[in-house]
Amino acid sequence: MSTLEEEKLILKGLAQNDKQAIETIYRANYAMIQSFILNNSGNPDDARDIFQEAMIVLFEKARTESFELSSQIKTYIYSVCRRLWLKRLSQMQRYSGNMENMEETIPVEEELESHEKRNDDFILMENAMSKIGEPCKSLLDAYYMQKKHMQEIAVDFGYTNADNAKTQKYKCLMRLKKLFFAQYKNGQ
Amino acid sequence: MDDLLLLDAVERYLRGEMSAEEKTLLEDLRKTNPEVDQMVVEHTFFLNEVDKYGALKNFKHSLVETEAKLTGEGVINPTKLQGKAKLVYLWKRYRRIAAVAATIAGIVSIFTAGLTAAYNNNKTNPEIEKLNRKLDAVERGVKQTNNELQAVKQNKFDPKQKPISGGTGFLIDGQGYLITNAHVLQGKTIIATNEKGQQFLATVCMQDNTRDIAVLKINDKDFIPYKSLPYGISKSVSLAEPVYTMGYPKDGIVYGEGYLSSESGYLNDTLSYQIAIAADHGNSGGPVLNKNGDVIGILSDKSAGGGVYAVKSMYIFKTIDNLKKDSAFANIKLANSNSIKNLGREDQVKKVNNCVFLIKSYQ
Repeated sequence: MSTLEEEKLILKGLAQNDKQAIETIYRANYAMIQSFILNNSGNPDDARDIFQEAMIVLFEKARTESFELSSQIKTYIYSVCRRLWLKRLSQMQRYSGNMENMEETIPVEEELESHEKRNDDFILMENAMSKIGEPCKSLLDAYYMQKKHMQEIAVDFGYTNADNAKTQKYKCLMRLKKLFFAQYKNGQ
Repeated sequence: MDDLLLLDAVERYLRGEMSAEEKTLLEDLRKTNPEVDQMVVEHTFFLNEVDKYGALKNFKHSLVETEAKLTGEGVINPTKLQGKAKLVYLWKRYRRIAAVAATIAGIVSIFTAGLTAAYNNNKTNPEIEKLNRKLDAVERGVKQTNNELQAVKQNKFDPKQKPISGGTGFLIDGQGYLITNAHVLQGKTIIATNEKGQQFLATVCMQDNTRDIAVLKINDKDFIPYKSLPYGISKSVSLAEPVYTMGYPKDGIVYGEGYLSSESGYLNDTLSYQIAIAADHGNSGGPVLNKNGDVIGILSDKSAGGGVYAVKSMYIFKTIDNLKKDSAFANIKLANSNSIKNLGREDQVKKVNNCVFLIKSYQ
């Protein structure tokens, strides 16, 4: 069993998108979740999906400033997966009503609610991104996702200097913003 | 202040890259100018959203990579293959051939690239020309194999037969329940085809000729149930609201838009709405969706009087409620959550596409 300190370190890594941390959590918990899902009328594909989503929930939680570890990672992941799977089963009308409890659980409803909202926001941004077209999409991707320097981007995209690239980036960002807010307000 | 300049300022402000002097300047400006303040707030929010998006996207990427790595090591079970049917077997067999052909094509192309580099000065090398032609031939071969495979896979009925009636249908339950018009189903064998051209055998669960509604169930081992449907079914409408439909007046799916022109149908028929929309016979049985992407009716070309009509969605609920009294259908669950509400029309259509089927019935 991992100590509290080790778990804290793993979560810190997770928040920074450290692959080693992701791998550690997978290795320690995947088998448990898979057997839980297989035992409750799911298949290996479902197990992957559910685990992945739980990882995202944990990642989002680890990234919040006020984050505190109130339970073991294992308990947390199991609780989230269990809740997600129950929801999926009831959507498919396959929930038989007697799901065994393999582990202790903690309440995670609130977190899943905010996860859903974040997911909506993600889709909104992804939509806006898909509409701005090239080279804007790649440009913003290089700057905000791959965190490349303006200098590098200028070379990659063939701008004469970093300032030009920067101006272009802001123009793209303005476009993205317009698209994003148009949808955002629409969705309210 | 110029928008671009302000955006830049906010970004540097958030990252703490501003000098104290600049900071004071910006803060003063915010205090004296509410418009600037509003923009700073908006930019901050937006940049935060971009950041969150970027972080999550990167994280998802890492997840996929880790998953692939661990699958390779056997920590994660690969998806189980369930190949029993002959067609699946054929597909698998040909897929290997296709893969080999593709590999050859790949090797040839690398070889070609190598030669091109080696003979860089010699612009029109006959050898390269020849290799290119060979590469094309290999590619054509792969394509043909794939096409033939599709044909083999889909040979679910005698292709010489002509359908005696047809129209459109759409899923109301991801398990494979489709709704369509009753008049679409004149024959005994029903084939539902999705927009990718995959064909599925379907059976009639119920048929109500008065309301012109029928419920079909896809009973085909090749059909993969949908975990959820993108649209819900809505009973509320308002006069003149914009609507759209998707259907199969020809073999490919066709999109059409219009508006709700009357809350009653032909000769004040209260079962249906009247709709101003371009529709053909084949559109019959297709969904009528509102701007949120919710189904409000079933297109029905009872073209009496020249109008286009839609059976009210209320009758979908009624029909299914009736059908559920039969214990064989008690587990039907109508689509009830809309996941495309906030999407643009094009993206809505992309999702709805998969749920709209071409229905043909044969003797």
